[in-house]
Amino acid sequence: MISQHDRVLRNPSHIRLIWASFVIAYLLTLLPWSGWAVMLEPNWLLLVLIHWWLREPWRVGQSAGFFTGLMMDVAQTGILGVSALSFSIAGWLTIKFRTRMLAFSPVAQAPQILPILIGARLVALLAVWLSGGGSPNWWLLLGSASDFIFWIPITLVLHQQDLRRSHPSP
Amino acid sequence: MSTREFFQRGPSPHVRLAFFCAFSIALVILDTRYHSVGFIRAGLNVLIYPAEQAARLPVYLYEQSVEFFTSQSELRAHNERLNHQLIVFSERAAQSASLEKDLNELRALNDLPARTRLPSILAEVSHGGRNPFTAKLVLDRGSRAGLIEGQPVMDADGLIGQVTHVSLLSAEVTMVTEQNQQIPVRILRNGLRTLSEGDGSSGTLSLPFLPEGADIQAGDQIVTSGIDGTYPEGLPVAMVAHIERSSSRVFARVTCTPVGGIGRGHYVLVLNPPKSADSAKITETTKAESDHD
Repeated sequence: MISQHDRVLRNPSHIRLIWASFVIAYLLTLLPWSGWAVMLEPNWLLLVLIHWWLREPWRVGQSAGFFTGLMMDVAQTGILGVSALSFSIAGWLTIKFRTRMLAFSPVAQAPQILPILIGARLVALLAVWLSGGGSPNWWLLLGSASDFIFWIPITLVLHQQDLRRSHPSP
Repeated sequence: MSTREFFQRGPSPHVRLAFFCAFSIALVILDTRYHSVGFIRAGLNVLIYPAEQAARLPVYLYEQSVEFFTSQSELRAHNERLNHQLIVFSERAAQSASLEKDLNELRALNDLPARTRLPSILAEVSHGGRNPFTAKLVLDRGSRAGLIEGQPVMDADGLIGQVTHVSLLSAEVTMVTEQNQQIPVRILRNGLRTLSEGDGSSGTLSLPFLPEGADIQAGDQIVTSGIDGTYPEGLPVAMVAHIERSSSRVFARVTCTPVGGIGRGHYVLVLNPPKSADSAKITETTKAESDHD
């Protein structure tokens, strides 16, 4: 039986798919979310980043996390560097545990990714707090739940697209 | 199979993590303490402008279609209401014009500079509240339309906030409810002057420096005092909602609700700070004096 890890090694993802996924995630981030929706909005960019960190760490590395975080800070009119910091840490954690996580199916990966998703939000909360942005609003951690819920469809869709587009090795 | 690095090259993940963390923390410090990364933000803002417009499109189309399907009776009711308001406001405008004339005559008698009407810029709110951490709005006008940092922003109901970042095509407004956002205000009823401070996530304001026995009641109107030269005098800011007095504290705990249509209005007015008008006047005076010499 061919393991998921081998499959990842054999079929490099289409570079256009990687770019398209980031553009779509960015557009979703730019939608005018407001009120409670802001708290429950999934971290689209982080979910896409984690997917590619697991599958294509050669192409989407830690620097991609940093720059995507910077773009997210600009999109959200937040303090420059907060999301960059949280995405950098999330990237390091994902790449560190990558090999182990790839041994599981996307559904089984979800509970292992949850601590990374919570950690990323926690880092952002603490960074805003320590930089003088006021007492942290812990309700924002609730957003990790929607990250968790959206992780499975996002990774499955990207994986399906990947399989369809990639050229199987001879 | 395409060629690919089988063995990792370059710095290890730990080194990369340390580098990016240091870089991010430096950016956070530069942004919050020294406000010196505005050019990065302004540049990236211009870069994402097309994407931002594209993301706004579905909401815009939805709003347009809702507007299109508004019933005749609703439109008529709205029109009637506006006509009614127009009559009320024209009467007030006539009154205020004569009052302004009187005021300026009196000021002239006392050798005080006349109050001038400041030019303002109408802008549309692109989006608001996308950031869960801060109370901000983004306007569809930027430095190209003449916006500068520090300008007060208001809507039909009152003060909304202040322009804090300007890029070429858009500008960020920090709202009055933002944590630590202070505004010099006075209570309209008795002229008591104090500072208001945003409470952050709760969407309210507080008056932290009012003594325990201060003359303040629930329902009092809070307006700008114009002392700092940033906000013009007399703009409605908030309404006192709740007062908590305790003999064990020096200051009363006063909570106010903002009156500016926070997150409701579509159009806002960006005012010029009185300071800029004064400095323009000073330059004009000095210029006139030097011409005279």
